[in-house]
Amino acid sequence: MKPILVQNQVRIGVARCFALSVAGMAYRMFRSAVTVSILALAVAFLAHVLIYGLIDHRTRLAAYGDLKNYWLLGEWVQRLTVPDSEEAVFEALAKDEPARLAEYQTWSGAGEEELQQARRSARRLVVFQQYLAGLSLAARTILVADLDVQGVVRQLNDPQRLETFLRHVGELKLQVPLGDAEALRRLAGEEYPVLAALARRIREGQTAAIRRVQEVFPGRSPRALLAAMPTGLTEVLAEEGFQPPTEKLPVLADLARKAEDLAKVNQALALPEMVTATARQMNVPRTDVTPARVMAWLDSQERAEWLVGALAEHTGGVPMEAPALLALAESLQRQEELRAAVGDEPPTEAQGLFAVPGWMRWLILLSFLVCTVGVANAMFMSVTERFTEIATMKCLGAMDGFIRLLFVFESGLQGLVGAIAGILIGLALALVRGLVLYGRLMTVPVQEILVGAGACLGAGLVLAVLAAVGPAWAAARLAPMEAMRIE
Amino acid sequence: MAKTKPTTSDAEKPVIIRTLGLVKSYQMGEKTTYALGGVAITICRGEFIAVLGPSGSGKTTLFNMIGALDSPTQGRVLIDEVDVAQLSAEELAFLRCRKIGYIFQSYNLIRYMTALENVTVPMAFAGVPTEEARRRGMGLLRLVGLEDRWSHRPKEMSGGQQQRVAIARSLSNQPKILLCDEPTANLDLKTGEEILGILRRINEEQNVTIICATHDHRLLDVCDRMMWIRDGRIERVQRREDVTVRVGRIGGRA
Repeated sequence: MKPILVQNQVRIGVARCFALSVAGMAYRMFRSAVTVSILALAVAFLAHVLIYGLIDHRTRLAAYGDLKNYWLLGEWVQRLTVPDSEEAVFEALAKDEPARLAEYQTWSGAGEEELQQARRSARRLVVFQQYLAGLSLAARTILVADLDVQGVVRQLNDPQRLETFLRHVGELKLQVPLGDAEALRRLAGEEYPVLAALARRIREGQTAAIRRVQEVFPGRSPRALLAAMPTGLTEVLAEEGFQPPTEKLPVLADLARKAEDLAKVNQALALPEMVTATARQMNVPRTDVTPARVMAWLDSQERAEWLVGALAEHTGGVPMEAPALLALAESLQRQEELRAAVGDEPPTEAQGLFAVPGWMRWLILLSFLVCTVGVANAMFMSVTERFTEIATMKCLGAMDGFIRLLFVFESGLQGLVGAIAGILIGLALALVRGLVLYGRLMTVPVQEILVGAGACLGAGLVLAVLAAVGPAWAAARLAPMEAMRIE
Repeated sequence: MAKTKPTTSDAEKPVIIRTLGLVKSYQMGEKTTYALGGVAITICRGEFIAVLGPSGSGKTTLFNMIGALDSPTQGRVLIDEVDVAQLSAEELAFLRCRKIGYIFQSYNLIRYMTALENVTVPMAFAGVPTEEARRRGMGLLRLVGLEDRWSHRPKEMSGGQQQRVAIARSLSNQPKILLCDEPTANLDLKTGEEILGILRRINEEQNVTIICATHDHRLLDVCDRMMWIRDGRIERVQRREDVTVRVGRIGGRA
């Protein structure tokens, strides 16, 4: 007779183990569904916060970019009309904007050394300004009344006033501005007059430049000039020392054209005959008819066509077709929406989870913790109700590793399904929320969302597998003789 | 009456299981409870042993030791002269998978598997290719008379049928030893008899050693030897032919 030869048990294939795990889960559909929903809930929360954060950030960024173009147009129209204000000059000098500095150097004829000195003074002036802005209302009233920083600096040029100022600072137990009294005295007495003289030269230079540009292109307002972009404009501007953002000029020209058109339309709409006609058409009192309201009312092809007809009838007409008019009204509407969406603050640089407020991050962490406990509990239940089955399998030759893998697979698969469901739910909610808040402005960064969804998937899987560790090890440690127990 | 096998003395037959001074104790606070107090038995190849005793006598404990499911506090269990205590986890799994078959009182079939899948589970653990496992599984189901029910799940079968599937499963890797824990306790008289008949046939045809813990006195009719256990000790060991067993039957049939 053959003796019993004892060898090592063979390891069972992973695929086979996976199939067994799936079969076991299919049998306990309800329990699996509960685990999957717990997971889906937590992942949906994370996915929603993450994806909505991305959509929100990208939308704000895009909207802010558009809004900045509008501001840029306004800035350049102004700069081609009147010279920069004194404050603007000081501010630009304190900042590091090469284009602006180059313009100022050209207009003032200042040397490199002089400009650098002026910039240092300007920076000190800004520091002093911030110091004044940081004071409490009471302290500010006592020290400077309602003067602005330049007024204060001009006053402090008088030694007696400086002394009073410093005494007040001491009595109020405040820090001396700019570190010490000497620096303040130098700023008021020596640096500021030089700076102010330079600013005057710059502004005079700019005024002359503006005049020469207008002489080259006579009879055109700066905005019309930017809208038309006549040949030679950029060269003339460059010759006169202006350094406009070349790459943005086409965008600015486009915006300027729209503004020109709008101005023409507004002018036509303000005529008394037009007001009467539109008031009748819009069915509102005459006093309620303003160009802005008419443009807001203009939201369909028929209305645009009616308006074009009315304009042709009552005024000299505007050189615009109905679709163009409609597009103009829409771009106006869009500008309003942009302003409503982003306000005046530039969006933060932080992205994704980092853009989420702190309490929300804690909430996510907490939801994941609760979810882990929930899943671990569900897995423990799954192990407990299968005690006999596990022990029987061990009697039949299953090894600890196999049992462990069985439950890790079970949890992992549930994690996968739960995470995918959660991501879809979170994505859907984020899209709906974005649409409600931003409407057509919403920008969807597909690639970043995919990365975010991948992170959510990973988080869900890791969570599920982590939650399975305890139950799976408990199952693997189960003694085979438990199978002898009678249920 | 089952037919009696030619009797031979213990010395002539190869020994398959031997226990030496088997002690199992549980520490409960300061008191030590002895489940087994020095059991020494010898079981030969091809024997059909009935282990009898009241509940709490240490029957199940002895059973678990012989089946390599539990380790003794003192003493040794030798299965084919291999000390079970010396085996690693992998070797123990190998032993349980291929050398010992287990039959449980409550059948312990895996609920979500069909009869055939249940029978082929141990073969999967033994690394038998799927096709061969199916073929062999169908053969085993034929052996227990359930060939046509291979696709049924446990809850679609009666207790007797489930136990027959369990027997087929226990035989799937051609074990040398079959351990049955009260195999007929949950079954009615007639079905229990069928199960005992199948066990006896396996014992005779395949020369499988069968160890059966039981309360069922009909088993005494089919076994070779019976061991009576009381308070963790072997009370007496009797040969089947040394005792006269008269099993009364309901319905007056003798």
